[in-house]
Amino acid sequence: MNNIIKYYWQPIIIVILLIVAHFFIPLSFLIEVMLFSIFVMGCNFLLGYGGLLSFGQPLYLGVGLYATALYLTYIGQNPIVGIVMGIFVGLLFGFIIGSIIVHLRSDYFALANAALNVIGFFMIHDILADITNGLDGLWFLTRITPISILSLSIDLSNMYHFFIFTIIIFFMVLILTSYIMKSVFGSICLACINNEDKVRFLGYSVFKVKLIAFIYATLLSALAGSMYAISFGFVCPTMMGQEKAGEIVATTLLGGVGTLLGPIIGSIIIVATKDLASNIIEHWEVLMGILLILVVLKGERGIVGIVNDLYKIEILRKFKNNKGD
Amino acid sequence: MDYRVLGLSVLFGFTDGCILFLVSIGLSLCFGLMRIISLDQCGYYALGAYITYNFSLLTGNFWIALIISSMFIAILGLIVEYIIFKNVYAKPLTFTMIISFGTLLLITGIIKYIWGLNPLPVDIPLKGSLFMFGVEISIYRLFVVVITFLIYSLLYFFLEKTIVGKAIRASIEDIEEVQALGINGYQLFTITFVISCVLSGLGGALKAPLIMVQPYMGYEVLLYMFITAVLGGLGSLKGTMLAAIIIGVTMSIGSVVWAPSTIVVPFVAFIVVLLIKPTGLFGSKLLKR
Repeated sequence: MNNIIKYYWQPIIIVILLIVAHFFIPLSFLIEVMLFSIFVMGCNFLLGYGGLLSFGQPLYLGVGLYATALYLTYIGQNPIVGIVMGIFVGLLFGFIIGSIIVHLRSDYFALANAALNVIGFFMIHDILADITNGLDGLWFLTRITPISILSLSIDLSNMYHFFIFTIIIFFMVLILTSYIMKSVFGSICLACINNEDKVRFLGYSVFKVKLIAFIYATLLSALAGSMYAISFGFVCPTMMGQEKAGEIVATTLLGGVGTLLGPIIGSIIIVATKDLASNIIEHWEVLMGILLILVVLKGERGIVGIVNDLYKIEILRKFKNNKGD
Repeated sequence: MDYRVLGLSVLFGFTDGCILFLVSIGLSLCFGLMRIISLDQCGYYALGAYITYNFSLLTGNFWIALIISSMFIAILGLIVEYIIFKNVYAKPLTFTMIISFGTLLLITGIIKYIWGLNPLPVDIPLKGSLFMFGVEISIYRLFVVVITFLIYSLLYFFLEKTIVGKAIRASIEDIEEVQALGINGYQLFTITFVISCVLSGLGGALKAPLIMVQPYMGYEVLLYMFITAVLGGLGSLKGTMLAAIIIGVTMSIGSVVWAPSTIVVPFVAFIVVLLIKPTGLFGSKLLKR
């Protein structure tokens, strides 16, 4: 029990804070923050633990969006199965795409993702327009039926139910991510970023490590996509447009690359800015651009990284003071 | 297919390819010399087009506007290099990519702020057209091709014959050796960056009369630019020229055969090239790091 609290105190505290916060803050804001955090966590994991930057993350969001949407529109009515579908397709997609592009050098990888995103957008927009309805999008809010688990009726089109459901999913994602970050696999991922040759020398396959990191990142993005699809009740291709990629990267960097809390703090700031200062949405690019430049120039470890550093400096100073006495 | 349509589309592709060359040579040289992925070249491309629009309205002469916009972009490049890129030369590729992407977003945002979202027209300076091979060819398009080849030869001359160019070429292969010879590497960086910016801006300015100028034109050319630079081999002048023309003509012919292929074919080609030969057509083996 002690171990669990020691290792997983961050997710537990976050969920408690969320539950407390929903008495004061509108539910829609919290849902948006959680879903956006899951999405950013994918990019964060890819950059912090795979060492790979991607300008095409919206594609993997779109995979989840359309997997769920197509299932709910044409096949079934159970939203849980829709989400499972999204995760499964994301997994498969990550495996196929990852095994092709993951060995590329970092700049090629980033732009190859952007190219794939454009291709994916085009596929959904034009080539598969018979199924996906093109730019009009798919509407399936009325097809989401209540489900019953353990004699509890859950209606995911109800915002309160959806909020609780999102918290459960969010908690699971946090636990899983923090487990992976602290596991041997996480350490090898970090080692891969620092020195690939030494990792190879130790007997690990760098390709496989990066592939698994990529698949996990894709899975998170696809999960976020599925949840978005159910939350909105409709999907359209503009949700996965390539121009959204800058925002994701900016949020990742702002929060702190390779940290558990980074994506959440970044998302809170970005979503809050969007909500509160809606008149600056017009000049969103200027803000994102300045943010990206400042973060790289002044504090490349993001907010969480800077706070961590300050904390460590404080501890060191206390330690030295004690020694002086 | 009618041979006239084919001829026309080849010419159109040639012009597009020439402009693509002007934009992507900046990226190519910047990566070859400084190891930065300068995605913000597209920003100067869009900005060049906009400044040309303003000054051609103001002075009524496209050519003066072209020169003024080049000068403007040169000064801007100097400032951007001094404020931003000086600090990231030694950092990993990922960071340079993020910061240049941020610069691109910033420039796009500023353009949107100043000029608004509406597409703006620029008058074609050379209105006449020629009849060649039974096809009607606009003189301006021919002029774009000519001026690009002129710039290509100038650049070739600069890199091959002058001492600064030789230093730049030598530093593309090995910067430490060059610095050991007593040449200031950072000065070379600044020169190369400003040249890249001016060429990108010139590309935008030349493109402006052919299309409507709109804020996202830089963003749209981003992937094509990168594809061209990769296909040609980063750091290679000859390769970039060839790749730009190949891509321009392919896209142009593709759009005649099947319209949607314009969007998809370059990206598919890009991924195939990356997988088969990541060093590109004329990429130096030494560059693979």
